[in-house]
Amino acid sequence: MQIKSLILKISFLASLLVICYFGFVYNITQGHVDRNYYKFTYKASSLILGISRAHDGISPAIIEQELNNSIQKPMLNFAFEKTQSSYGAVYLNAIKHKIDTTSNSGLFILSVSPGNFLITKGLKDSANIELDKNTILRKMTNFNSHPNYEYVRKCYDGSLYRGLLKPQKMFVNIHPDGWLEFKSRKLSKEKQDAIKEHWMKLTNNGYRQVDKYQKKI
Amino acid sequence: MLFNSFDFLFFFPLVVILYYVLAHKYRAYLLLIASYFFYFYWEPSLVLLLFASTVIDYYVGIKIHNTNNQKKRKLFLYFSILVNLGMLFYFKYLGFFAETSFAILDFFGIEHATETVSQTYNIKKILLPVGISFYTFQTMSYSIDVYRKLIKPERSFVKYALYVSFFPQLVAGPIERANRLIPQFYKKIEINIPAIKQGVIMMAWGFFLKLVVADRLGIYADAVFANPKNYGGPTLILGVYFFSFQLYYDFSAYTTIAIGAAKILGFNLMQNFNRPMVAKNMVSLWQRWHISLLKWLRDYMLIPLSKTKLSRYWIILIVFFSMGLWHGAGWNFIVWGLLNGVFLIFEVGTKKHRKYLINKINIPFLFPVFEFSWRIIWYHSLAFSLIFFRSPSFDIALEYLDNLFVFDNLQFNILKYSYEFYLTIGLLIFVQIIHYYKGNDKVYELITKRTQPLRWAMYILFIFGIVLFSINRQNNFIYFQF
Repeated sequence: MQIKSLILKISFLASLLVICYFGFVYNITQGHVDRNYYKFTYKASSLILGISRAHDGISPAIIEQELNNSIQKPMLNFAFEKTQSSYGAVYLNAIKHKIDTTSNSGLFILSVSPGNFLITKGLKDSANIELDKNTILRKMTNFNSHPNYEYVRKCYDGSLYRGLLKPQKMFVNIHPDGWLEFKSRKLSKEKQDAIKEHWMKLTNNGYRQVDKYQKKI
Repeated sequence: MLFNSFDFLFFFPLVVILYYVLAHKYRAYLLLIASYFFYFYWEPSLVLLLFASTVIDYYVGIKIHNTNNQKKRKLFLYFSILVNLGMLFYFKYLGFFAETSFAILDFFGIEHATETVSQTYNIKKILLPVGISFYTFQTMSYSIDVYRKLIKPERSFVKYALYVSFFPQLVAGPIERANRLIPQFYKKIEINIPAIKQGVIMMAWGFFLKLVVADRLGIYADAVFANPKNYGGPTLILGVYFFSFQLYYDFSAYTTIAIGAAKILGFNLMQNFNRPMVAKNMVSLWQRWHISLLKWLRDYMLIPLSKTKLSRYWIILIVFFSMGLWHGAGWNFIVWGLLNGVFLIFEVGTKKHRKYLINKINIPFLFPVFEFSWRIIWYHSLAFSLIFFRSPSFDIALEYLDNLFVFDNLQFNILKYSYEFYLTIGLLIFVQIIHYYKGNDKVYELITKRTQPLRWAMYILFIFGIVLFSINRQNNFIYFQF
């Protein structure tokens, strides 16, 4: 009798834990997860590929608007930071999952910069492949669903309580089509001075380090 | 398999159910299969190493016992130690020793030869097997105890293999002793409801410590230790404090989960932490911190060394040097170990003088002030020695120290949101209060002694707390790298 009661209690608490977890994961996906979440929510007929320059610099909505009906929609900005989306096998595999194979007039914008081909200096190919295992694109298997529970489980590194808070004021705007827009901000004189001072300090710090190394040499 | 992974959430309940469903005589087999699967899940090929270590020490134990020839007994023991330390050396220390030797050779201009050796033997590619330092120490202690005739060798291979590989404590301890664990495998275990409840609460508390507290502290500590030159003194000092607590809560979380999991299965693992943060001094700290390793070093190093002509200060230095090296193959770990050895020597060496001074001053109300000051001193010596422990290399540790007292930037919070920073501090205070009053081993008393409605309220609050405030990434436990 006692065992039965214990099993029931543990099962109840475990179920509550699971329900709570999925409930709060669902809740956070309805608001702001992170800057890459939307890229894993639907299949796209047209893609923007590349690293952060494309991620921040090319808006699918504007291109769709400009080209009107000549491309197949939806278009998605599927570019990431350079550590996540160097051109290679992992990125290619992710693109294959992303493309809506039924489309026949998609537009693909391929942004090319040196960063697309960077690997960590001094590491052999095998070690670089190991590093690739930690990228978002390698971790994910489900590229097209909303809510994407897998994304939150594997790639989101905050806490779920953030989904209950009012979104913080950010100087970036994350669009559902994957574009990361940096807002232009008008800053007060004090803030401008503070930023200037901060950079000066960093620069001085930088010089200090250089001085040190030069002395060593 | 990580404790803090979804896979473990399926694996463990399944093992528990099968364990209690099976008849007693099959349970050891089940646990052995489960333990090997637990390890296999990580890196399949490394299971062979675990198995090899087990087979060798199993037979060595029997051989030592079966012969009365002292020379042969010694030979078998040396063989066991050689194999275990050899494995450790190859997988853990070869890269470090090679690098150090190459650096010395490079200094004398023998660069080409070192490059060739490094490439030929592919030294940098050797993968460190998870938990190797733990299970090799466990098997060595077995052989030494058999040699010293403290225990008889285990005849059942399954039970012995289970002693080496018992999954709750396989990868990060506590480093168990054969005379404690193996007899427990023979006992017929009935379902013990209070023990299971205690085990579940301990596991839940361990998960809370790891996912909510240690990983949260780790965000701050990881950032500052990755790039110390980017931060000012206050940030770096706070980084040291945060890391000292992260290390404790991370490691004690693992141990708490391990002890809890074993408790659910009906086993008692040894205590590995006894509220170290309330220690009055360094001596007391090292009696409370990572108890199983320190006891191992005491029994198999300190006591034998104390029978030699070495002075006790040298012995302390040797033991702490070994402790540093046990933790990791790098100068930073060695320096960390030696620094703690030196602090301990200072404490032991000045004890009489300090006592004399306090008695001489003889102002009773100042006694608690002295005691408190000493606590502050030992904590800070430990915390700041951890700069070497945590830094990825010795050079970065020096860089950290170099920037530690640069106060041109008085920023404390480096986290994205300020509320995250205050949450981190709030959680730290919360767990410290519990640590102070109960410690992780008796945390269940906080719950089991309450009325039923209060208990349920605590369970539900706990579930919400762990779901909402966990850091949502599967971080390895810090001690897995050792």
